[in-house]
Amino acid sequence: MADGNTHSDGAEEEVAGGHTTRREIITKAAAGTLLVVYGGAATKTAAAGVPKYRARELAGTLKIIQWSHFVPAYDKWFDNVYVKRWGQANDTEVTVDHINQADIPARAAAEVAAQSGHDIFFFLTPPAAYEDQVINHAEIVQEVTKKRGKIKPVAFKSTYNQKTKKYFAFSDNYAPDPCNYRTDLWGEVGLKPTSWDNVLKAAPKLRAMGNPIGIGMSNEIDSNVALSAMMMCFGSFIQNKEQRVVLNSKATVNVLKFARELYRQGMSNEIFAWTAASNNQAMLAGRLSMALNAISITRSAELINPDLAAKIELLPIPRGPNGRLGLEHVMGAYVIWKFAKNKPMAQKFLADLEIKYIGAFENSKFYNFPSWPASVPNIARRVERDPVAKPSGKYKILAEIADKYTLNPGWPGNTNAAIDEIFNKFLIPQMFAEVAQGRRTPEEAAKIYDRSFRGIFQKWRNLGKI
Amino acid sequence: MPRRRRRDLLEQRRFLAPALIAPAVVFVGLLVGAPLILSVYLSLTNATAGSLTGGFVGFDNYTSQWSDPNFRTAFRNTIVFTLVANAIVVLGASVLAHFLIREFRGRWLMRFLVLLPWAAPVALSTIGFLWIFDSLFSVVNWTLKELSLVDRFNPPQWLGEPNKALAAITTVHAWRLLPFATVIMIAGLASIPKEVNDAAKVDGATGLKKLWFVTLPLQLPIATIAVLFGIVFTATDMAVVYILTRGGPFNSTQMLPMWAFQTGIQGGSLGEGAAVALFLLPVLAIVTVLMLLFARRVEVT
Repeated sequence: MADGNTHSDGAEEEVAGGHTTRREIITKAAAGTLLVVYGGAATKTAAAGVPKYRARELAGTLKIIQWSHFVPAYDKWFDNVYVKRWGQANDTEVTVDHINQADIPARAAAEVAAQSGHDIFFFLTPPAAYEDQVINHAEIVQEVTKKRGKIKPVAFKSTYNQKTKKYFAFSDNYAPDPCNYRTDLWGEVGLKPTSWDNVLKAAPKLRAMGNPIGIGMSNEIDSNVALSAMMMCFGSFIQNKEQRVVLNSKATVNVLKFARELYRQGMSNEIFAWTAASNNQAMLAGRLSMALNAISITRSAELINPDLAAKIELLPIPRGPNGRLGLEHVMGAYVIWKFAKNKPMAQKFLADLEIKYIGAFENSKFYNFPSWPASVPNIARRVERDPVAKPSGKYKILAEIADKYTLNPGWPGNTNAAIDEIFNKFLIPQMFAEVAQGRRTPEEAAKIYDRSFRGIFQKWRNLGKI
Repeated sequence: MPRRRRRDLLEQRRFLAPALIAPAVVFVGLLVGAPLILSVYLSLTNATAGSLTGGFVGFDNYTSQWSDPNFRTAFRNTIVFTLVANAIVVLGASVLAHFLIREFRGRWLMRFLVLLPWAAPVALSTIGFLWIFDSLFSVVNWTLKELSLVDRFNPPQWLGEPNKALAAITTVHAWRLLPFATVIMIAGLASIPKEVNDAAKVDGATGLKKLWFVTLPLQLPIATIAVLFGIVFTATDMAVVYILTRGGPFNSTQMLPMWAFQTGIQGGSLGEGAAVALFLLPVLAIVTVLMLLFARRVEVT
């Protein structure tokens, strides 16, 4: 056992090798640490790298973070063409970081906790919970409205808090959510998915052919959107216009009964395990006969399987007892943090992006529909003339879906923090899945989830956000 | 302070020891202590992801979570996953360790292969399992279909049915913990003095008798450490559930870390999320203390 006395105090004990004392090690380590800490903090540009544009340093910097777009061509255009051009024109070095869509909430929370990060942060759902951390985006909205006229209602209701009168985000785009269906398979059945009744009628035959209907009931974004839209078609809503919970209704019971029948007769239990990419993959693998999704399915098919792409057609959401009420598939919502270092340029960047949205619209291959329709002239003609579409004119319907059948989460009220929480906890898919698998009756589910939603709404109401 | 005196101070044990340990203490304090205090503070407030601070609400977050069925499911699953996965790990690691301690050709290769899952990042290996259990392209289902053991159009959904999803998650936890426990068990077996084995042989203890009366008691303290690590790693892990099911189907595979993340970060209710995360703290603390006490009691000197 080591004896403390063997390490005599004050002795110049040497480390094996005979030349370095403990004191020297500690002194050198301390000096090294000081050098790293203070040296790093003092040099502003030491590790900043080569200036982006030769011959001159740009005056300002602007940092943006956004998702890795479902259409890769959009990111290429945005990063390499638009941002570079805008940066040079505005004497600003713009950096763009991309993250997976599922990581957006965690990244946002981290930036807010650190009160540091990017100047412009992009969300895929209206980020109402972050209202206190962002500037009021009203100025940008006014600037764009001055040049491009009225904002689309879906974008307004997704980003404007009707209680606090604040724009908690700036929406540049939204994606319509069409019904993707296989014309060959539906042709064999002799129906079209124009109504939910038709879908239920065709479902058993389609499943028997090995091609079930694909509407997810899983903890992922597509399930949230598809099931919320189905609810609205049946007249079931989470909240009313005044943001009061109205879930426990006959319409909710009816839509839950309908979805249970649809699952039992025409879907398979794979829908409970899906990720956001699963319905795309299943459609592209030739498995599904129908799915609700943005145009990522057809765009991917055009690239990897043109024959299959020609068999996938688009329609508006099927009609229900309450009509055709669809939801946006994703809502592009930029925020400028209060702690952003370059707020003026961030505001200018967003306004400029929206005012001339043609590039974004074209390069997203019509995935991003402008929140100010006048920012892209002749949308209907552009989508109709898509050069890749098979059969030609396939995307024409998108303009109609965008105009008539695209609403915000939480409609008829505005999107708010409670809706955001309900979506992010995947409580809607959970409610549907429990009923579909026979864990609850539709009546029980409507009652229990109504109570649960009231609790969430009350919490945010107490915080003054609803 | 004169230079000579400063030099003397650094050579004194009572100054040198604290000086050397200080960085570790500061490190633990900053990275563990500070977040813990912040979590306790947040759990007693109505802070949101967008506010960072909030009004004092006492134990409201704890009581509201306790009455939430999803929380209860998460709490139950955390205990079930942890116990079942660790039971599998202890059993599997014991068998593997007894096999791998022996001399045989290719022993090092076998040890390397057994250790491999531990070396792979959790997220990466779990993504591998996500593909293995995929709803459409599952290699398990492909094999079963080829063998005509399942319905071609309605194969089992490993992540889409609650019981199967629970089993899948437990399997992945057990798979990733097994190498670590095996290595510890091998170390435990290797540390048993040869004389003890010889003495047991002289006394006529062989086979199961030797295992029960000699090997297991000597191995118990180190096996306890393996179990302790296993419990902490499983109960606090979020990656496996997050990647495989995100808590689904219908939140039936939620675990406390995942539910804390979903409530606090994704749902924006930071205070409630902190409360969920802290539910596990006293449980794990008690388990740790009990197991360390147990390890000390059974320690053979």
